[in-house]
Amino acid sequence: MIQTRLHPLGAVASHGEADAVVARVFVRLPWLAALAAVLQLIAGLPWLQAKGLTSSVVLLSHVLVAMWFLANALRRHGWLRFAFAVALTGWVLNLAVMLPNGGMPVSAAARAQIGAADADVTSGQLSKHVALTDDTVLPALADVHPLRSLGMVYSAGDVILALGLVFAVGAIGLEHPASGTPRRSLRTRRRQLQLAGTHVQ
Amino acid sequence: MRLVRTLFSRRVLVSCGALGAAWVAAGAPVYFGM
Repeated sequence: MIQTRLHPLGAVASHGEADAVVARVFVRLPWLAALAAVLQLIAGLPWLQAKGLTSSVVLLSHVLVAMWFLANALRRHGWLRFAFAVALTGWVLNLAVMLPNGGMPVSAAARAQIGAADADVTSGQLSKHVALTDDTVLPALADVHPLRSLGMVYSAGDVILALGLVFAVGAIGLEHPASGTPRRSLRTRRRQLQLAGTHVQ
Repeated sequence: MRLVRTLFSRRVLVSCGALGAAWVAAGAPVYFGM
């Protein structure tokens, strides 16, 4: 006799569907984030600067990372979705100050506090930045906070972005199917789905 | 052993790598060296 059991959501599940449930606790399209990072890293190459393509490459990188954040925020659930929503907020804050200023403004005072007062933020690997001036739009969202111990200057958006990414790592850890108590619910769901397949008796 | 297997599973490593890449792409703090 052929017996078909339904999983809790009412649909017939297969082993493939069970794997899909497990896969949902991980990020989607990781290659898209990698491609965006590569573009961001090569944007400062001298030959790209010479051709005046730095801004275009940085902009393309932001478009790709926005697509990646959205794809994950919309197609993931629970804490992972929340984490991506937080990270996306941080990215939007950074973009809000970068777009009207033609790059991320960096405060000279903050640079001075970490001993980099003479650093040129408009050339080389830092070429996607601009100097913060009196004409800077939304200066509060610019790179104005010095982190002396790490030699960095960061923005409010960087903090929220980092929080979101830390939440995402936590969500992946908590939901991973091969670990302890907090992850048991997912493991149980997978077993339920596997049991809910079609059995021939 | 199980914890190690979990932490170093391909999916976890790929996910964390993607998150790090997004950190770089979305605007990591400007670094001036030590």
